[in-house]
Amino acid sequence: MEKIKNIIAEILGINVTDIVSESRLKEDLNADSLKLVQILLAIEDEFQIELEDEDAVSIKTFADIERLVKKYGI
Amino acid sequence: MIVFVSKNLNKSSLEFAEDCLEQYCYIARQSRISIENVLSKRPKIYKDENGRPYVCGGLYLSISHTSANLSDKHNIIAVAISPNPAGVDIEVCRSIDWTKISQRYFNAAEQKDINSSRDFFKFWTRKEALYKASRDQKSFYVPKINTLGNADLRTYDIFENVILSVCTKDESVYFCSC
Repeated sequence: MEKIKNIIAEILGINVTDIVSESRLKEDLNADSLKLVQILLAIEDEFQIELEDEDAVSIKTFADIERLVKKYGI
Repeated sequence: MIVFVSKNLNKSSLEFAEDCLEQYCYIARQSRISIENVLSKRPKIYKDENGRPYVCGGLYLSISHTSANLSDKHNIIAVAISPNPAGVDIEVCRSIDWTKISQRYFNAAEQKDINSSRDFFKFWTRKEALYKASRDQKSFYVPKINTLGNADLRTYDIFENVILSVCTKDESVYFCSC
């Protein structure tokens, strides 16, 4: 999960320590729609996966990403 | 449609949207535009199950915000209000690896017209505005949704390096800088 936190922190220009499970990507971490897409693509690139559209749309918090990490076996 | 734009937002986006809604209703009353139920009471902004804002009483509302700089809180905001389904998106043109995103989120016909970061932001805001107006949760992630030739989509340059697109069936789009 640290790798994913680093990806998010770099794209959003924030500290890794700002990211907790409950962090809402848009409201708390200041991600707009384009930055969200950049995050998803960076995660796909890093772990060589392709997220299902329904999963991508469902991501609202860092906890949602943690859930998908388990689902995709990352 | 009226699009309210602020470059130095110092309140929450919802507070700003509420102020815009009040201004819209004032303008509507002055113009004697009939909006079901809105003229008789102060309208409120609600959020649907996807967290998207909407207004009861015959109005549609769409909000988009972005930041002038990477680490800034969202300080550039656009709020579009209309009696018809509305979508708005605003982005600051910036250096970005747009090729990967284009391949994933735009169809072949759209990709042919994306040859620079500026082209990319134009197409991105148009697709996002269309997605917001359609209120289809999944439509955005389907490249087959074509923005080319869609007469409801309009793109504007506002401020330096800031692009805004709206999706509306309204004949006219008015801007109000706040």
